[in-house]
Amino acid sequence: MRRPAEIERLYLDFDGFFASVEQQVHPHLRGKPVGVVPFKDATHTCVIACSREAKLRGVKNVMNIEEARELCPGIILVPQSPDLYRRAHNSLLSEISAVIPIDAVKSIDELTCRVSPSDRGDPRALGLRLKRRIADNIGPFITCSIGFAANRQLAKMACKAGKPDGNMVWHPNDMPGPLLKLTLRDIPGIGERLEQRLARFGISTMAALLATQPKHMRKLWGNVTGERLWYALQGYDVQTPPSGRGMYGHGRVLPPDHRTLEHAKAASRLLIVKAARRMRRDGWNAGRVWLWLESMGEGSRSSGAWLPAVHDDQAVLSALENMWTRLHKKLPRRARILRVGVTLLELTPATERQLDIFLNDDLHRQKAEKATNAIDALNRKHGRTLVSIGPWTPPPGGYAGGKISYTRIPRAEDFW
Amino acid sequence: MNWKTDLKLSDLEPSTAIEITCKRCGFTRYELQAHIMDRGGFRHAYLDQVESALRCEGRFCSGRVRISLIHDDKNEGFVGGMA
Repeated sequence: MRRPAEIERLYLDFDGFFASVEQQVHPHLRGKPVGVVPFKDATHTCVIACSREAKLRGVKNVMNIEEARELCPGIILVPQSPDLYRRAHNSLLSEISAVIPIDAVKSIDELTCRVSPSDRGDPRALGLRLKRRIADNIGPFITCSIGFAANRQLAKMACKAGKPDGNMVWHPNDMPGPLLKLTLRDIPGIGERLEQRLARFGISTMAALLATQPKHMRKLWGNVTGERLWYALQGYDVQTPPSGRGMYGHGRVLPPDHRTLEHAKAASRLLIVKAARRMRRDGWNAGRVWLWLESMGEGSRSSGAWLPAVHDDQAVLSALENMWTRLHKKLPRRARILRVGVTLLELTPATERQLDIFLNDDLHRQKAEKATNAIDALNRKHGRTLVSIGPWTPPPGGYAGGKISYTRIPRAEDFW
Repeated sequence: MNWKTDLKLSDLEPSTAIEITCKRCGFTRYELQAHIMDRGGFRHAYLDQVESALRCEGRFCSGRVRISLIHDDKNEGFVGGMA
């Protein structure tokens, strides 16, 4: 395995991304403590992201709203705008890729690049160039931290160590000095449980972890990640291979006046159609569908169904109908559903449909796929959900099926 | 100077998806670089010129549009928490 002698990777992480985008777009929020919440007038949920000013007053991301208000009484809570963050993400990435090619987008506010040989001598200058470009063309209120190191993992840690607005360089010649100043919890991938486990084996400092043997790390982790992490911390050019797509799914917390079985069913129909649209767009068929409900006082219930490797709306909706029929028998009539979720699993490429010898459905499937493709084309042409199979009743709050997650930055069409 | 004045349409891969959003009505559509190139007249155009030339295709609108590039082909998750 190669151990680079120069800076080869850059990791860029935007500071308080959602909140800083809000501050950039809304001048009245600038310089003030801002917390982004899931929906308007939210009281019993958490702050999903907060501004630097709020962080200075002790507020943290994913903190209960009441707790955030206690720590920072003047905090301004703004409802999330996923479409705005998505557009900001696209613009920022376009500006960055005009300076340096992007190697991988890790989340809506994190990305990594390979540093070209011409920039390796002075990576800080590259960092300043990127920051200036963002400030000039997007706005000065969206700041980022940049880390440079021999590999992605160290670059990410350098980036985090330099927050906020950092431009940190961890040259291979200086290692492991900067690492020794950190705790085990500063390593991405080490959480509370893993930290406790390491402590049981007498590893409670960075120095002790670095002195461990790679095979021992593999044993402690119980998988190859431990060994990969060891090599990454030692400065080797190692990174995890990209994981393949395993499922498409959506979940939704229902508002208090939409927690009946009928409303939950309507929401699940919409969510499954949106998940199936994304799946079709990426060229997959699903072999299984899953529906789960979290009801108030009744715990969670779920139901699954096998599918004959399909991607059309008709197939997933009829499977959903069957699952609801089964769940209706188990749930009390007046059940209150807090959260509903759907998942399409067992993915196979849509171009390689394996026919079931006991199910002669190919002709019917082709017709259903043609109908679904026609519906998709109409909706795309009109830029909204104009045609759907059955009722289309988006739950209040908007953005159903447009949630931003680590591996998913929604497209505008996901909000239709 | 921004990415639209720096990049030509021909600098992009033919499979690059371009999001075209109307500034007036918000109608959004997606087109591949190859499809826009096929229209002719854009061979040497910078993206800001492409943006000025394109119009909204929503019914009765024809408003000015904003273009942006889609980067979702580069999305890559964290595996075991590692970058």
